[in-house]
Amino acid sequence: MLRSDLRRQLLKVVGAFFLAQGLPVAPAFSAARPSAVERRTFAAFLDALLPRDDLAGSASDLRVDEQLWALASLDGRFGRLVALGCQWLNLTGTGSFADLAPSDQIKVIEWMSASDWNQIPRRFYELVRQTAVETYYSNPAAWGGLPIKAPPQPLGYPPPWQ
Amino acid sequence: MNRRYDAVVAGSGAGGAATAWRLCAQGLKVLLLEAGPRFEPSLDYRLHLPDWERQVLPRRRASQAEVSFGAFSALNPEERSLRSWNAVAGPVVRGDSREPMGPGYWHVLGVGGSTLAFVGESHRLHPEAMKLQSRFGAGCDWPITYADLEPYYGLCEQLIGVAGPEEQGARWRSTPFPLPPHPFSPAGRRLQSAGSRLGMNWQANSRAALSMPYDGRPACNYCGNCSRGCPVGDKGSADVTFIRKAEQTGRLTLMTNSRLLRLHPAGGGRIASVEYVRGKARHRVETPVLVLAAGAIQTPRLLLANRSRQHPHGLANSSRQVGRNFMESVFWSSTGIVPDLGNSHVGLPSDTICWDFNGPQGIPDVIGGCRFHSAVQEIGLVGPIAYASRIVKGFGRALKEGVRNQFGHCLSVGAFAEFLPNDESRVDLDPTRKDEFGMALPRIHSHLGQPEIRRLRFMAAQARRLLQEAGASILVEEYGAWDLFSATHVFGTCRMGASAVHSVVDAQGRSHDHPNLYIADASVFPSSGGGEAPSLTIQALALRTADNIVSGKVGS
Repeated sequence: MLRSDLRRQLLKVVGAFFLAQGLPVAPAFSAARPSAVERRTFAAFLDALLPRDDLAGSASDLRVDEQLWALASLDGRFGRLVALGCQWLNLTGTGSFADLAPSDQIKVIEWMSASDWNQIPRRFYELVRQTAVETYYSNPAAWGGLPIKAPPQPLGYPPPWQ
Repeated sequence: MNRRYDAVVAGSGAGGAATAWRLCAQGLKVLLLEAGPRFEPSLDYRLHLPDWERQVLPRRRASQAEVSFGAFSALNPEERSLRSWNAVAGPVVRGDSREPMGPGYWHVLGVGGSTLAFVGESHRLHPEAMKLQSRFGAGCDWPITYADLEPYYGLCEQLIGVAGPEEQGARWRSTPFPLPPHPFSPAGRRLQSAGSRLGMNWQANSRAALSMPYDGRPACNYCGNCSRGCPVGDKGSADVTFIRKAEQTGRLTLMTNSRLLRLHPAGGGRIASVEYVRGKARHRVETPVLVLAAGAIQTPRLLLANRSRQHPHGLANSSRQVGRNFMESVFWSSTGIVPDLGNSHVGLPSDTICWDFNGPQGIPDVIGGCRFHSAVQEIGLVGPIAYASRIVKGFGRALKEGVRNQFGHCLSVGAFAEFLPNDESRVDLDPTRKDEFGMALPRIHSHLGQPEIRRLRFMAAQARRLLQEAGASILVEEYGAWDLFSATHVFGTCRMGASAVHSVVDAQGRSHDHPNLYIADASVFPSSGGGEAPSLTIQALALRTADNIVSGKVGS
C-alpha cells in the first residue's frame, strides 16, 4: 500500500476507534504546545523505534519528533492519539518512559506491538511507527548503508545494472 | 453563447487527448474541456526531492474526483489464501467484507488524465478477447475486430514512441514498433530466467517510455518511478504526446479546471450545446459534435445526471445500459525476498511480461485470461519508506538493519486478468451525496464473480510458484482484488455494440440515441481483455472514432 495512503488509512482507523470508544475525535488538544514531559516521552519512544547507530542518527537526531508534533498540531486525531499514547507510556513504570532503561523501553514497545488492535497502545504504536519511518527515511541523513545516495531524479539509474 | 468550435471534447486523458489531436490534425477546431489542472512537471513531480517517496500521485487541488461506493461483498473465509497482507501490517483488511484501498478508484484529473500516473504499458488487446461471447460463450463481443483497430494501434505507437519487441504472438502487426525494447532490469532478468525454467515465456514488455530519444523527447533514465509522474518527459503520457501535437496544430483550445455539467439536447436528439463551469463562472457553448472522454466512472455519471422530462433515465440511455456492465482491474501481486538479487528497485517498471495465459482459454476451467509481469517498481518497492512500512517489521536496531539488508532484494510478480460483467457491478448516482455543483456523486458497485475468484486463485498460485523458482526465501507481501477494491483500469459502463437495445454506442463510438454524441474512453469496452493495459486501445478507438466523425461516415 502506498505510504501516504497507508497513513491516511490508519488515521481513518484511529478516527473510527475514537468513535467506537466514545472519545471525541478532535478534542481541544493543544499539540502546538505539548508539555515538556510529553516532548521528552515522545522523543524517547521515537528514538527507541529508530535509534542512533554507526550509519545514521536517531529519530530525534533527524528531528522526527519535531515534525510529528507539527503534524499533531494540524491533525486533531493524531494529536489526540499521541497525547493518550504518551500518558500510557508514562504509566508503564514508576516514572517517565524516558527514564526507563533501554532494555525496558524495548520490552514495553514489544508488548505494545503485539497488543490488542482495538486498544490505544497498539494504535499508537502502529500509527506513530508508520509516520515516524515516513518522516525519518525522507531525510537523506537516514540513508547510510543503503544503495541509494540521492533521490531518483535527475540522474535516474542508467544501465548497466549488476 | 457562441459557436466557434467544430467539436467539443470533454476529458483530456488517453481518449480525449487522442480524439482532440486527430480532429485538430484534420482541420477541425476543437474545444477540449479538462476538469483538472495542467501539471507542471518541474514543480509537481517530486522525484528530485528527499521526500519523493511520500507522494505517489501528483496531488494538486481538484486533481481527483470524489466517488462513493455501494456495499461490498462479504468475504468467503474459505478463500482466505487470497487475502491481502504484508509483513509489517499483517492482514490489510480486518473486517469481513471487501474494502476500497486508498481512494479505490485511482485516477487523475488534469491535462493528460490518468496517463500522468500510469506506468506506461502499451498493449494491444488479444484479438480473441474481443469475441468472448461468440467464440467462448462468455461476456460480450466487440462490434469490431482487431483488424479494424490494427492500423490505429500502429499510428498511436508511432506518435507515442512505443518501445517493444517484434514478437507479439496473436497480436499481429502491420508496422514495427518505432523503438527497440528496453534493457531488462535486475528484477526482470530474474523473473525471465525463473520463468523459462518453469516453461513460461517471458519477454520485454511494450512500453510507452522512450528507449532512445524520439520526437524531441529524451530517453528514459530508468529511475523506476513512472507512476509518480515523469519529470523527464520520456513517458508517453497524453500531455506530452497527443496534447502536445494537438496544440502544435493551432486549432486546439484547451480549457483547464473546466467541469462539464449540462448537455442540452435539441430536436432529433442532437446535443445542441453544453454548459461547463470554470471557477465560479458558467459558460455555454454550441457544438456540432460532442465527444465524452471522462472515463468509465465520470462519463456514465454525466449521462445519468442529465435527466430531464424527455430523458427520464438520463442521456444516451434508452437501452438503460448506461452505468451497467462495470468492469475493473482483477489484480494480484506476490512479493518475496530473494537474497542473491540486488538492485531490484532500478530499471523500468513492468519491463518484462508473460502472455502465456492471456488468451480467453489461457487459464484452466474458466473463460478469460491473465498476464504476469515484473511488478516490484510498479507497486512502489523502490525506497526505504516502502521497505520500513511493508517489508521489515518491528522496530529499533533490527528495523534499521533489516531495511539496509533487505533493500533491493524484493522481487514481485504482478498479474492482471479478465473481468466478466455481472449484474451487481455497475455505476449509478449516489442518492444522497452531491458535489459542490449539486451533481450526484458516481457510486461504484463492485462484485467479484466466481470466474474472477478462479482467476485470482490461478494468478496467486502461479506467482508464488514463480517466486519460489526465482529463489525467494520468504514471501513478504501479497495484494489482490479478493479483499481490496483498487481499480486503475475501469471499463464497460457505456458499452459499444451493434444493437441499440443492448448497448449505449455503436461501433463508431456514437450514441444510438444522439447522432452527434460520441464516447471515446474505456466505458465503451464490451470486454476488459485478459489483463492488457487499456490506454493504447482507448487511444486507437478514439482515433478511429475521430476519423469517422471527420469523414462523415456517421452523423453530421
